[in-house]
Amino acid sequence: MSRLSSPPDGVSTGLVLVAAALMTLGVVMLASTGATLEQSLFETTSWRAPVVRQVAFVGVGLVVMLVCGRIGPGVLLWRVGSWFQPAAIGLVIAVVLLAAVWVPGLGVESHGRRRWVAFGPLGFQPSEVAKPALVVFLAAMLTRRRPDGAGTKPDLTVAMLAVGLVCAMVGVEDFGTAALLALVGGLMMLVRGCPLRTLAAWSIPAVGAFTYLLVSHPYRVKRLMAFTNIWEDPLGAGYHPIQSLAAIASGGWSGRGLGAGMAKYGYLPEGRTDFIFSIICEELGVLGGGMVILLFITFVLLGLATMRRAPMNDGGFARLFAFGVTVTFGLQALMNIAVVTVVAPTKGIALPLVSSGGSGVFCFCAAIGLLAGVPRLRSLPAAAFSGHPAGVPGVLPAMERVR
Amino acid sequence: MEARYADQGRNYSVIGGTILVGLCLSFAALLGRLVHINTALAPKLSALVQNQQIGRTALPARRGSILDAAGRLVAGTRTRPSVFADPVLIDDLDETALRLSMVLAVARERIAEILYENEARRFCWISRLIEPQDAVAVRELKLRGIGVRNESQRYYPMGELLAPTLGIVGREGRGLEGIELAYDEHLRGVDGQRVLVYDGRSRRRPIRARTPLSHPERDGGHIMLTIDGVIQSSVEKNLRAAVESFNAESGVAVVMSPKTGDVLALAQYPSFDANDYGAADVETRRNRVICDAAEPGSTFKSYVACGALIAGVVDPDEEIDCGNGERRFGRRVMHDSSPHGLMTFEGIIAKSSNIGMGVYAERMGNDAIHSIVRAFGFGARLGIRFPGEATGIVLPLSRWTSYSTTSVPIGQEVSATPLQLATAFCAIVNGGELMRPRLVKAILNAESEIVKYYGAPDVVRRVMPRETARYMTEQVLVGVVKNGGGRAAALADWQMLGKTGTAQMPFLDRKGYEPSAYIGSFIGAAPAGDPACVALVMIHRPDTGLGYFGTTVAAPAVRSIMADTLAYFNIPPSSRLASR
Repeated sequence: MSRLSSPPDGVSTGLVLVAAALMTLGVVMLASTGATLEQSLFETTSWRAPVVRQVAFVGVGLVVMLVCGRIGPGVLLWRVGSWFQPAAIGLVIAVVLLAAVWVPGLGVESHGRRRWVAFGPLGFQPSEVAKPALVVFLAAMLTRRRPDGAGTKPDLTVAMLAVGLVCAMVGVEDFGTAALLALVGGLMMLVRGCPLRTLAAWSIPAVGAFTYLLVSHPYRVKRLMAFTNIWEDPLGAGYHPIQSLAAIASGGWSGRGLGAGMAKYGYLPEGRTDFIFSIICEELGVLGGGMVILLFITFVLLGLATMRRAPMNDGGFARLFAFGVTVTFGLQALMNIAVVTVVAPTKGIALPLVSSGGSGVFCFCAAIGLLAGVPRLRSLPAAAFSGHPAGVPGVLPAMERVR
Repeated sequence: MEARYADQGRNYSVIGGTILVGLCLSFAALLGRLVHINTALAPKLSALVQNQQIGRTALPARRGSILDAAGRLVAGTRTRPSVFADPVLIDDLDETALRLSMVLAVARERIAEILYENEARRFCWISRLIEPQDAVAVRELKLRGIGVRNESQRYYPMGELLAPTLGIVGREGRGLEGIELAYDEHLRGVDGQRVLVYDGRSRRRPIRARTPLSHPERDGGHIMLTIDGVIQSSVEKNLRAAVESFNAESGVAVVMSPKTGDVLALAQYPSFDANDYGAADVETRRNRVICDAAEPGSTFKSYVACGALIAGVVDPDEEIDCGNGERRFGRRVMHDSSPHGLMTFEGIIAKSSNIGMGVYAERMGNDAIHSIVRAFGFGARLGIRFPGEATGIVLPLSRWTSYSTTSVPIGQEVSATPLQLATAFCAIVNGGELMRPRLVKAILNAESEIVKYYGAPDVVRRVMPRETARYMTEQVLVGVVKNGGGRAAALADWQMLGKTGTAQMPFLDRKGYEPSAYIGSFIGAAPAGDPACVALVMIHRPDTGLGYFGTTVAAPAVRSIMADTLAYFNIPPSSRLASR
């Protein structure tokens, strides 16, 4: 068990701290949106429930993250190459859950869309599971070792099919997440070194599919049109963007004060979830919003550092995994903030770890925990990856710089 | 295949690093967007936020009342229901119009017309300031989209009484004329404002009942007038009778308390109903007692006579030759309305001899005449707080001619308002002090507590020595009623004193006087020993066939007014008058 006793590492600790900070902010903001003037602070019945729930989610999430950090992504390499490897199992579970949304009695409709699966009192969003599952699967497929053990041979076709399948299943009900997953998939292939020509060729059917998903739901087209001029229909399609901007603008530089926001009084209906960033800006100002953005930038840079000093003796799996997790997390945050600041058209995408909800917290916590555990792979004996040299010239000095 | 993936380390570092750094730069761009939203877009968005979150409701202050000297309400504010509609909520406009017309005094067609005109609006008035029982009936109909709201209405319970003095209040609740204008700020109070912060749900509800921006309304205070409704109604009744019985164009009257300068009544006929002021034109609404000046005629002799006494040009025993109705003064030949021979000072005033006045005036000289006229307050504002107070005309001494010497003493070449004449007369009968006339006795706050009480008289100046005033009052002016032109004003129970006047009306557009256009006037005070009341009545353009001398057209009215007023004041009768 020598790998479990390696000393805590600055970058890994930083990742955990950033994630914990974001989750804490999420809980604080959830309490803030619930604490309205309509009732006394001591009449806590109406806001206590969601906050307590979220505190529980965050608590469990932290435990999950620390445990995953202890274990490290090495576990994903268990029985690698076989059909029973964790990457394959994860993807299958994700696909099954995505399909379960459509099973009567399991799938739950919310806001007119089926994105939820319920097991008794517990419910969660399969699309959240799909994100880490796809990242792990792609990392595994793209760094698959040759049967003869001499180097790696990426299985691009399987990877592409996996991305296509997951995006299609997610995209029917959740265009934003599908776009995110497709983008993440494409970027991971790019980083793995897939030729641009191949990627371009694959992107043609992808663009076609996304166009179909777009036009198959009139509200998506409407949102896209509204984005071009949000003031055209201020009470209809333009309502959310305008109210989001209004909330941000009324915050000013330092905000109206925690709990003093007005948008939560029915002006911004998704204030606890997708539009939490607007509420943060309203109550904590550009300063608060800027801090959140800085946290995400920090996370991405820490992810980059993690990636760069991950060992190559696993054929690049850890690196690709680190990149995948980082880019999924960062890209989702970027898309969310772009939506609420009306830089991009409205789509239902949450601010990772900050928006209230359990599924996202658990899945990202697990992924971030594994990411934080990447440095542990260094202590793996070289023999674990027979035939592969431990480390590649040039990687170690680069890693030192990052430190 | 193998070759393509050979340089994995470079791929990860360079491509992956580039992508992630690009991600960070995108985040930085969004940070810029936050700043952009809070600077460039902020004005438009703040306005939107203000509009949707802040609701302002005006809280109108209640306009204060105007009371008479005894506390009777002469102008008040009452709350009346008004019916309004939200046509958007009404399904069947015709049906609603039909049902409303059954309880309101508005035709079905008219209601339907209003509703159709405002079909797309959320608010329109159907019928304003209706009777409370009608509002109950409207409420009982329980019609969707029809509501009743209380509105304030200014009303004048005494109708025509005192209307030109009280003035009017415009639709926006501002005093436009008269006392309503002079004391508008005090009466109006300060409107309040309720600022509520609303939530964004479909059915808007206020989040907070109170905000620091809200402030309550401050109701207006009240005004108590010096005018007494009982005297006022006597004055209006008698004035109207005088105007109607002499088929005159109009008449004005004013009653004052000589000791204080308080105006007890002031009236003009024809007048108007203050509750329906729109029906009267501006000319009718103007307060002619305070705002209209005219040549006073012979009543003016009493003031110049005081000047003659002060100047020491009068020997009460001296008999003046009145030339049997005609006498030359320089280039001017003066006439009396009836010829007189030798007369004493008292006789000249009693018979109102122009020639006799001319003799005294020549002895006084322009300087002395001018100074006594100004000393009585003519040619300047008296300072009663009333919009549009006229000064009258007293030409500057430099423009006086030799004609002025004989014109001014008989009330020509000068003009004065009825209020000025009455105020100056008060100065004669109260012992020689000119009091500033007053309309307001007390100012009260909204809680009806007295803020300011005008008790002590406001003495402008002493015009003449007490002895002179006493002689004027008890000998000269009493003589007018006892033996002279004022006999028609004599009262049975109190000794009246006074002076008649019959002025010709000058053309408005050229020199000279209109033939057979007169103002007959009488100014009197009683009881003679200690006058409690001064009354002036002027009748404009009486029918000359019926009479036009002041003694004929005005003196009887003054007598009736005085009798009513002295009885009302409980002044004991001057024990069976000596003259009888």
